[in-house]
Amino acid sequence: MFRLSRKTLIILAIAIAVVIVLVMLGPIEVWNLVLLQPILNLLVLLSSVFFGSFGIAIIIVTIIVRLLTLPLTLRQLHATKAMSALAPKMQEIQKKYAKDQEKLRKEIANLYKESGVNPAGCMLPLLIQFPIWIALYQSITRALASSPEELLNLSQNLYALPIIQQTVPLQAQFLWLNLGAPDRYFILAVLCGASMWVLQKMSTLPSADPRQQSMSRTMIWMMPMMFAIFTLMVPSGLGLFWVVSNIIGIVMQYYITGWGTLAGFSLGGLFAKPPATAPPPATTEPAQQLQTPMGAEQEEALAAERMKQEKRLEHGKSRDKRKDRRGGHRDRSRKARRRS
Amino acid sequence: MKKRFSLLFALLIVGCLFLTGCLPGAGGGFLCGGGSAPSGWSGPVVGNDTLYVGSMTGRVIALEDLSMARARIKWQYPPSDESALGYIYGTPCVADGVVYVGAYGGATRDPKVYAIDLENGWRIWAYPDEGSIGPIIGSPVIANSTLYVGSSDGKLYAIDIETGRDKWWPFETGDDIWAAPAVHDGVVYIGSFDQKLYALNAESGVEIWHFDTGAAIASTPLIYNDTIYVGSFDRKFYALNLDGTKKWLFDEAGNWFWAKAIAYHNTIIAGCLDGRVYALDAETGDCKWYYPPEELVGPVRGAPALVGDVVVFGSEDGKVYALDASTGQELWHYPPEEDYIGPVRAPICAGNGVVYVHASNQKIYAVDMEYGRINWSFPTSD
Repeated sequence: MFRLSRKTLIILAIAIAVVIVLVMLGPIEVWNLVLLQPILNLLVLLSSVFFGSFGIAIIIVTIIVRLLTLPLTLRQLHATKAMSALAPKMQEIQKKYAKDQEKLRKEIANLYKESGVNPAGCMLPLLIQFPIWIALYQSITRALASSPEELLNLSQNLYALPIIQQTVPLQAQFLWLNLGAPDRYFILAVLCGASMWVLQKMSTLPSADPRQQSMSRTMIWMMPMMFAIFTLMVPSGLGLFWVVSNIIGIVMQYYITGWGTLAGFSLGGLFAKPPATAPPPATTEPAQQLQTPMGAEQEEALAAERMKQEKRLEHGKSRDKRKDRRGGHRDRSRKARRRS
Repeated sequence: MKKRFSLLFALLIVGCLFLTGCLPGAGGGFLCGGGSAPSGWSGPVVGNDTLYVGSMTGRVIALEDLSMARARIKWQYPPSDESALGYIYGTPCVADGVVYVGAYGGATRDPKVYAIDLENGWRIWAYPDEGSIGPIIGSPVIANSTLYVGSSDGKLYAIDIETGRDKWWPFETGDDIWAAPAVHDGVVYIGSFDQKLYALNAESGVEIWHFDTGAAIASTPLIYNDTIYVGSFDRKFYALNLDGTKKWLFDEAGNWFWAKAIAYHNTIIAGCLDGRVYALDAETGDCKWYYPPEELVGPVRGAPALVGDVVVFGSEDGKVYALDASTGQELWHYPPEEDYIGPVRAPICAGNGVVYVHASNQKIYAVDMEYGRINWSFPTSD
């Protein structure tokens, strides 16, 4: 008899409920009810509480959303860190099986399996957070309602609380910014680009693969540049959200992985010419140096973690040997049966 | 390889922005968060058998031959070889052979008030001559050779219609003005986003009194039987005495009041963004009827029109409804059945047994009052 665990049943029930609600109300209505309207109304409410300042409301809501998604972010960061710890082993494998792609893939898969690291662990929490960020984006721009049509649209998304109704339309002025229009002084664009660059630099994994190195380098520059350009074009409320979100991201990243590849970075090196071809590191030491934070305690922690992983690997190897032995025994007994 | 990565990454970012709805809007700016791009919602006005309307492409259009099978364009300002005025939200105002219109502005033009010759569509003056004022959303109103218009810079302007110059120093409120003013017995009444309804001396611009509602005011006040009727964003509809004291308030609506109310035999009929039209007793504020009684229509942003005993209003659901003004019974709706003509946010204009509707699909519809059938439609886009 096919039996389902309680956990699977709960997940199935939730999935069925979500599908039923989506079919009954429609995806847009569900999106508005579950994500957009709560965030939008929270923004307006906080704006009212903080003397009508929508800028402060954006900062607080960004912090709240960051805190709510903290478990997911931590999971993602830990997964990234674990991936980073596997980098030396990965380099070894890549070197060893550079000519046999099939074997390389198998060995990498084995490495992930044995060390208990799931490469999707870096992406999955990010994907789960993605709708929340989209809803926050939309809430900020909708709450600002810079055109009459947008204000009309906003009226359909507000809760019937006097404190919320009285706050609309929101005050778009915050510090030097008109939150409903792009920043004329480019300060926000610079802040957004710089903070995103720092975050990118901290979170980039060191890699021995020249292709990956090239991609990482491109990402480190492209992403901040593109967001800086977007900040010049979109309402500065959105730019403010990006800057605050980046700063919180930097703090989180620091506590989980330290300065990452930003460690040892100097401003002089920023403008130095990169080498014509990116040489793969000869040994695993440079990569380790890059990923090791400056603190001695963190170095110790990393060493301990590496030892654990090696133990896991050894344990995995001995488990494989046992499996092989068992498999061999089964084969032998099968052959014996066939002969008889 | 680098190029491929860059291209892939750029595509990823564009994809993310597409998901968030953060893409260039029609007005040249960026439209973010899945919001609506500005387009304008100028209502039509009829004078001398000609219809004047601010199109959603930023031009003032004069249509003639209204009684024929199809109307004909008489002139447009600015002409097609000149850049448009930007978005137009206010309904034009016609007086003494001149049509006046306030423009919201756009990517190529600053917000201004324009005086245009009714006959040939030539510009007589623009206010201000140089520079700009805040974007104009409310319609201009003329009384005693003075044009009154509110602006998003929070000021109410009084402009001499002969010269196009300030008559008095603009009156400054605490926030944007999106409503049109109402003038009665030498007093200008104007609502502001600072939650106040102001009464000003029409000759000097000096404040007489103000009344604080619970939220922003974007609806134009209605003066009827020495009472001021105005709706607010606090979901309440107010009746005030001419001295600024409260007479009654109606607080059973489910959303903001944005449309100007109309009066019919001691009944005030007001459209609400909750998707209903309310008929209130002018003396007591008691609700006589509301339409629809059960399922809601879309938000009612534009002012209804009254033709005899019939009240006509447009809704965000893309339909025009005609009701018996005394009972609230539906007489017809256009288009029939499941069709729709695009959200109707502009005020309805009625004349000679026909209602003129400016829908968001950039068309003017002439609908027969008696049967709710279409006489003609005219595209206002270039």
